[in-house]
Amino acid sequence: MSKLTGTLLLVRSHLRSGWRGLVFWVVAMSGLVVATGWSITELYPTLAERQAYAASVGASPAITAFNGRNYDLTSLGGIVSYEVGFMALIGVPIVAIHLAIRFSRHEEDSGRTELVTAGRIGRLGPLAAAGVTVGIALASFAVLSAIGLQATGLPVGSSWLYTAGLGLFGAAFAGIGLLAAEVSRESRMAYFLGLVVVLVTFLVRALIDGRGWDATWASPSGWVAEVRPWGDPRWWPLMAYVALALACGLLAAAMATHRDLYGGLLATRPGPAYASPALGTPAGLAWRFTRAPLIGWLLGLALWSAAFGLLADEVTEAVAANPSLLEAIGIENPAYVVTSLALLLSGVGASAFGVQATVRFAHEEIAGRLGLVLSTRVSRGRVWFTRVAVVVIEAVFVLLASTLVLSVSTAWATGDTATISSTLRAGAVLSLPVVLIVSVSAALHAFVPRGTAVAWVLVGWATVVGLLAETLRLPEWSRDLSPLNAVGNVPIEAPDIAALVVVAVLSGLFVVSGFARFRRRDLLAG
Amino acid sequence: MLFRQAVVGADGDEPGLGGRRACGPDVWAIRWATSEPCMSWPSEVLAVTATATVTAMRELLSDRGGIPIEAQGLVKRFGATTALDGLDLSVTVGEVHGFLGPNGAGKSTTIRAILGQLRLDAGGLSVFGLHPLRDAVAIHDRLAYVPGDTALWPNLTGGECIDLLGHFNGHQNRQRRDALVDRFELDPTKRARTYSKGNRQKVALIAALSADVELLLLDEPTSGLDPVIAAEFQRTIREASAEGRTVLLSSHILDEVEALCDRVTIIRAGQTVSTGTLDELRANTRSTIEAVTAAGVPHHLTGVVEARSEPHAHGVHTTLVVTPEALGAVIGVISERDLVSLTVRPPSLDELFLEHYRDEPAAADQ
Repeated sequence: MSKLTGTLLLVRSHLRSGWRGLVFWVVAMSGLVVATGWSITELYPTLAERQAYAASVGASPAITAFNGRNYDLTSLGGIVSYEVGFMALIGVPIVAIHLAIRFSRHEEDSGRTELVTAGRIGRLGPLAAAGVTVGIALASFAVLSAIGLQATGLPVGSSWLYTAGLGLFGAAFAGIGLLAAEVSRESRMAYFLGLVVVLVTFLVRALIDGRGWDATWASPSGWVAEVRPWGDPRWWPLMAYVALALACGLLAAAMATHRDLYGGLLATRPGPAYASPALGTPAGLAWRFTRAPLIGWLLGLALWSAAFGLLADEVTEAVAANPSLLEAIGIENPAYVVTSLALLLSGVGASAFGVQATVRFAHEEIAGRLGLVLSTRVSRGRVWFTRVAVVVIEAVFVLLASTLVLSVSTAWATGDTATISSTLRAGAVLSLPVVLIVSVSAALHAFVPRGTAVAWVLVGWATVVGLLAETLRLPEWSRDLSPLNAVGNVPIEAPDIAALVVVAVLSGLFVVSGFARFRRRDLLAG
Repeated sequence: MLFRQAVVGADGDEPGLGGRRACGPDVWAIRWATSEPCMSWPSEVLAVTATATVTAMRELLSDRGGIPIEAQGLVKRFGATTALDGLDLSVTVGEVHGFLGPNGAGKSTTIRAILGQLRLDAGGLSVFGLHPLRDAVAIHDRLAYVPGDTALWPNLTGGECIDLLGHFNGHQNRQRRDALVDRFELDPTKRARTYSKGNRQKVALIAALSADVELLLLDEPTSGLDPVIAAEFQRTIREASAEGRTVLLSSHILDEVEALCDRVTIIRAGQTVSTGTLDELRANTRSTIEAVTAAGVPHHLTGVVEARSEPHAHGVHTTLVVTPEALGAVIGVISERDLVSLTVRPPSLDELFLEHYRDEPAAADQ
C-alpha cells in the first residue's frame, strides 16, 4: 500500500461534503475578476482614455501600494489586472489558505481524519487529498475567469496567462496553508499563522511598490504583477509559484509522515490546575474567549496602518510632481488617498474581528458549551448581552487603535500634524458602521444560530464596495448596503449625519431584538 | 416469601448477573454502609461532608421546598420529528431516580426541557414548583448538570473548566472539588483538547458533584468512564444521596441503575412506559417458571406466554413464561403434577428493560 492510497477517494468525499463552500469561493472570486473585466472594457474603450488613466491612477504610488505594480495600462487587460489588484492580492491567498486548512487540519480537528485513516488510506492520503481539492478549486477559478475575460473581448492567450498567474499565486499560498496546518495542533492556530504570512507578504510588497524599490522578487505577493500577461510576458513568476507550492507541499508531506495524528510542531503545554475567579463571570468568559483574536487583529491592523501611514509621504511627493493627479482623483489633501483606503480596510478588519467573535460564540452554542454555562444561575439574556457588548467594545477599540497608529505614522511621514485630528474623527465615524455589522451578526446568532456566518457576506460586501464600487459601477443603493460606505467617504467627504443616525438606530434594533429572541428560543445543544 | 427466596436462589444461575441483588432493603444496606467514612477522603472533608453539609442541605431543603421535578404530558416537536410525546416524570425530594430508555427515546430532550433550554409544545413541567424558562435562574441556583456528551473549552485546562463551571454555579465546595479530582484521578493541568472522552466526562462530573446543590441532573454520566472510576462515581452518588440530595440519573448501565436508584422511569419514543421501584416493575412483568414434574404440565394455561418441555431424569422439565396475574394459578396447576423441583424467577433487569424497550410495551400485560 503506497502512502497515497485512497487519495482520490478522499478527494471525492471532500467534493461531496464541501462542494457548497468550494462553489461559493470559486464563483465569488472568478465573478469579481470577470465583472471587473466587463466593466473596464466599457469604462476605457479608447486609447486616449486609457492613457489618461495611466497618467493619473497609474502614477499614484498609494494606489500601487494597494494594488501592486501596473504594466501595460494602455491595454484593457493591464487596467483590469490593476483594478482587480488588491482584491486578488489579499483575497486569493486568504481563500487558498482557508480551503487548505479546511480540508486538512479542520478535518483532523473534527475527528473525521481519525475515522478515515483507520481504513485503507495511505499516510499522506489526507494531506494529498486536501492539496488536490484546493487545486481543483483554484484551477476552476482560473479557467472560469479566463473564459469570462475572453468573453469580454480581451486577448485569449493573455487572459489565460493572467488567470494562470492568479491560480498559481493561490496554489503557492495553499501550500503555505497546508504547511501551517501541519505545524499547528489545531486549525485556529493554522489560520492565524497563514494570515500572518498573507499580511506580511502583502505589506512587504506594498512598501517595495509604494516606495518604488527594485525588489519585486522579495515577496510572493509581488510576483503576480510581474507575469505581465498583457504585454511582454515573463515566465519566472509562474515557475517561482510552482516551486514555492511544491516546496511547501513537500515540507508538509515530510511533517505529515513523521508526526502523530492530532500532533503538530507547536506543542501544548500543561496549564494551571485552577481557574482565576474572573473566568466565572459572563464578562470574564467573553474576554477570555475573544482576547486571542483581539490581539491578533490589533497587531495585524496596527502593522497595516503603520505601513500605509509611512506611504503617505510618497503620495504627497508624487502629487507635488504631478498636480493633475490631485484633480483627477478629486481630493484636496493628497495624504487622504491613503488615509481613506487604509481606514476603510481597518473598518473592514474591525468588523471581521467582530463577526469572527460572534461566529465563535455560535460555535460555543452548537458544541454545547454555552448550554453548560447556561445550566447555572446566570440568565441567558445576561450571558448573550455581555458577550455582544464585549465584542462591540473590542471591535471599536481595534478600529480606534489602528486609526491612531495610522494618524501618527502619517503625521510622522509627512511632517503634517494637522491630519491627526481629522483622521481620528474619521475613525470615530467609522466605528458606528462597525458596530452595526457586529450587531447584525449578533442578531443572526439570536434568530438563525446556524447561519451566523452569513454576516461574513456583509464584511465581504463592504470590502468590494470600498475598493471596486467605481470600477464595477455598482448602483448607489447597492453601495449603501455596506454600512462603511453609507456613512460617507471619510475623511475625504464630510460624514453623512442622517446615515449615522440610521446606522445607530439599526444597531440598537438588532441588539434589542436579538436579546429578546435569544432569551426565548431553544438552545441548539447543551 | 417463597417469591423473594426464589429471586435470590435464581441469581446464581444467571450468567452475567453474578453478585447483583434485587433493589430494596439490600440496596439501602449498601448505601448506609458506604456513607460511613471511607478510605480516600481526607478526614476534614469528610467532616464537612458528614456534618456541616448535611445540616446545610437539610436547611436548604426545608427552607425552599418544592417537588424537584414534576412533568405531565410533555410534548416537544422538532420540525416533523416528535421528540417528546406526552411524557410524564415525577422526581421526589431525596431520591435517586433512574431515567431509562433506548437511544433517541427523549431522555436528553427531557433534561434540556428541565433546564429551560427548550420550549415545550404542550404539557406541564415544574422544577421545584417553578417555571423552567421563566424562573431558570432561580432553578439553576439549586441544581448542577452533567451533559451526556460533554464539550469542554479546548484551550482551557481541566481544572480551569471545573472552576469555570463551579464559579458560574456559585456553590462550588472547594475542598470537595479537590478531593474529587483525586478520587477520579484527573490531571487538572492538561488542556481539555487532549482529554479522552472519559476524562472530559470526569471534568463535568467533578464540576457538578462539587457543587452544594439540591438536585443533580446527570445525563449518562458514566459513559466513557473505566470501571474503577465508575465505581467511585457510584460511591459519590450514594454519599450525595445520603446528604439528602435528589438525583435524576439517565443511564444505560443497568448495574448502575440497580445499585443506585430508588425508583426508575422507563421511556420509549417520547412516552413514559413505566415508572416505579424496580420491585414494582418486576411485579408487573412476566416471570419464568422452571419445574421438574413426574407428569407433564399442559402448555395451554391461561396467562402462559411461552412454554417448552423436555425429558428429564426425574420426569419432565417444563419452562413457562407467565404473566403476573396468572402466576398463582399456574403454580397451583404445576404443584398438582408430582412436583420434583420448582424455581420462579422474575425477569432479570436486562429482560425487564428489553421487554420495555421493544415495540410491544409490557404495559399490554398489566
